[in-house]
Amino acid sequence: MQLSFQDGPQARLITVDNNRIDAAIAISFKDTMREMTADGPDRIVVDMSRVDFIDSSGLGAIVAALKQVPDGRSFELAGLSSTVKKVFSLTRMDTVFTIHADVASALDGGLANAS
Amino acid sequence: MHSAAKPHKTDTLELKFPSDAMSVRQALHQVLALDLPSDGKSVAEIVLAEVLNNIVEHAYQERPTGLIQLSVKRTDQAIDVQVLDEGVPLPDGLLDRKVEHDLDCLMDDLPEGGFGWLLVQELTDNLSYKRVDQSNCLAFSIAISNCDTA
Repeated sequence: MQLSFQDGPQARLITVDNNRIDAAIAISFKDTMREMTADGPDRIVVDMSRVDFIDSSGLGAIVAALKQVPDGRSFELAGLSSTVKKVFSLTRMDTVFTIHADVASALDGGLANAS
Repeated sequence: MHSAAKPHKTDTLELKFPSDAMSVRQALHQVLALDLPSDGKSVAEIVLAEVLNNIVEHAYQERPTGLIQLSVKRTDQAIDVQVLDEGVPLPDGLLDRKVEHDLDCLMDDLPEGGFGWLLVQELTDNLSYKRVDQSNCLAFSIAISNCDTA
């Protein structure tokens, strides 16, 4: 499982480096996300642009990651591929998550400017 | 008029493999190596991954020694798929049950599972299930022309 993060003054940007979130990595995704969302700026944006496939276990792990974020902090997604977007819309999870077209629009041009 | 006939492309794939995670992944790779439009490919990947995972987890209950037979036929309009296994039958009425989650709930109550069958129902046409002797036979097609609209 490969996740990395970078902090700006207002937001933490977590980048998913795997190109698949599936049953094989669902549990470590959830565990690593718990650590990365426990501290740092209150606004969390997850860059999903490298992920080109998720299955139902992967979707479950992303929902679990959202649920374990401490109160008062956001957990937003950015840069969903067309396949990933399809899975979110068919399960209506696109109505639950805040989803941005890409990281640039989520962070208003850059992590330093994010508000 | 032979010369006016539309070029017709048919690719078929017949695979038999054991119900372990590695064999399932290899089978998926072989299907995705077929000549498919990219939208059709991503839908086929989602559907087949869910169907095969369900067989491994539920029909064979994680026993890696079950047999799975997969037949995939690609025509001009669709990808026709048939999957056979010798595991536990599907629950009664699963095929027609609409697995819709209530998402108007507290965050803590959001579902973390049960999405797989919903995806299969939403992304396939002519989904059918038969129990024949000791085998499960699941058949469906994925419309290539409709892949953009899902």
